[in-house]
Amino acid sequence: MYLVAWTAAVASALPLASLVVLACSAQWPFPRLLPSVFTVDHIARLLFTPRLAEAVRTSLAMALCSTALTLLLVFPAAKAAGLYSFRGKEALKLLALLPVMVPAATVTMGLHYVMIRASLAGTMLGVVIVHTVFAVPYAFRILMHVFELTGERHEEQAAMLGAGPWLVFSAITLPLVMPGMVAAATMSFIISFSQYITTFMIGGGRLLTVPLLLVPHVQGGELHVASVYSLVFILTALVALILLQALVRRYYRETYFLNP
Amino acid sequence: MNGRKQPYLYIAPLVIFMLLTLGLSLGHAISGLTWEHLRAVLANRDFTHSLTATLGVAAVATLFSNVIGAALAFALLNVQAGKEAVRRTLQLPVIMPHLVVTVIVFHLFAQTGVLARLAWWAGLIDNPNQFPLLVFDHFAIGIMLVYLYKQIPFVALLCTDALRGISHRFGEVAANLGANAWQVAAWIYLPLLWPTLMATTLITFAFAFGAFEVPFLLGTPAWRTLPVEAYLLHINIDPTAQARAMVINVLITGISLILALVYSRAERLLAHYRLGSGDGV
Repeated sequence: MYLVAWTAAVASALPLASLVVLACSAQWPFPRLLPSVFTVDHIARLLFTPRLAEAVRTSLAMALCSTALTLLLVFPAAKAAGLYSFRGKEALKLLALLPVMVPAATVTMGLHYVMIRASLAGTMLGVVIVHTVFAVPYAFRILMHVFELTGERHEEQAAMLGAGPWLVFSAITLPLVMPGMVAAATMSFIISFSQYITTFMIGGGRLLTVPLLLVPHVQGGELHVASVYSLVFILTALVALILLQALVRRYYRETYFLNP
Repeated sequence: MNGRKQPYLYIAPLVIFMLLTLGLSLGHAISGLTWEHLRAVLANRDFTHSLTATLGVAAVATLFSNVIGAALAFALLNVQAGKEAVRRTLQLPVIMPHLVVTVIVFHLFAQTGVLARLAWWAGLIDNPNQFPLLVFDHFAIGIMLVYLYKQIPFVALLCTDALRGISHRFGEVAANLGANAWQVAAWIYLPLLWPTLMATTLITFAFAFGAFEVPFLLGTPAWRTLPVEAYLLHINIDPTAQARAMVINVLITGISLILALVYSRAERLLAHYRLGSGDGV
């Protein structure tokens, strides 16, 4: 059993390690198992280019906007679905599930026409909206489960003691569901950050993100360049998410002296 | 609280947003649908070929990832030492973007890739051309490797969680009555795991069915899946090609809707099982 589990773990981690080796190799002719020249020079050359800086900036900005939009739309709906029973609840759940089931390329092709009609094609807003569509299912699901677990007894108690709607929201609801919000935000962020075909079609080549920078090098078989961009891709997302979670943790400690 | 009486106010923003995006997108595709185009698409050999390729890749990848994933989950259940470390490592493939996994598959499985080098050192091959074609191959192996790398750990993690949620008393009772470890796994835990497996099967199938980047980058023309086929028609300047793309999109959406309905049905079943399994035990 241990052998199986550790084999699986190694099989998961080793490919990533090989990506790092590939990124650090300058020359790696065929039969050699390890690169003949290890260097970080070409990495530096690839990293400090205006195109990569632009791609990272655009990727981050889009992912943050899309995360914010997703949470705004999903929060009240997930609360309703998690706490109340009403007609059409199952339909709502099905609607929020659809973007997982209907392929992104299919939805995006249809949206392409809609966005052109609404003159949102080629704009940041248009792309953010499309990314949000695909983040909704995950955020909705996570927050709905959180609301199912927390219930609203604490909110009712606060209201009974005279707290207004805003105070109830900021002092009770939000802190209670904050771990769920972080999870939902993390998912939304990753989904927006990983989008390729949606950004490509709706952005119409005007918006450059990290996946858009990466794909031509995969197509061209330039794996050295592709591996460096892949690592940038993973590390940027990782750093952004760690920062986000650290911020929330600090907010918790300073405001409520709790650890989530 | 007035929220209890007016949940529709809460759900309105999301519903309106989804109708304006998903709804209009589908509406547009359907509005362009004519019998002529539908017949043209269905009669086209490219389409039928692409449909079987898509369903084939999705079915094989789903079968392997769920069978191996579930088996791995049973193995993980018995692991105590280093449990957290194994779990964290298995999460790596799940969160890694498909594009990056595609790069890795190229690097490992191409004819000059890491595996080919290992084969050379082992004396199995003399030059790269002798290494079997695993990327851009005749059986879509490259595409499936990406799905398997990401989906086996996904299925395994979800199934481990589900198995941990099932009361271990069932297994103990069976063992007391003389069942061996295999019988306990096959007759007690597997049936209880069934709803979870149904959910993971649908999710993995839907993903492999609708993925774009992976078959776009790793597929040969023989393995052009439906979304890729639709996209290539969509960017064609010929207006009839674009109409055909829309028809294909409507058909894809139809299949996805069926998957979504089955999934929500499976999920209700899952909730039922959870209540029945008695969390307090």
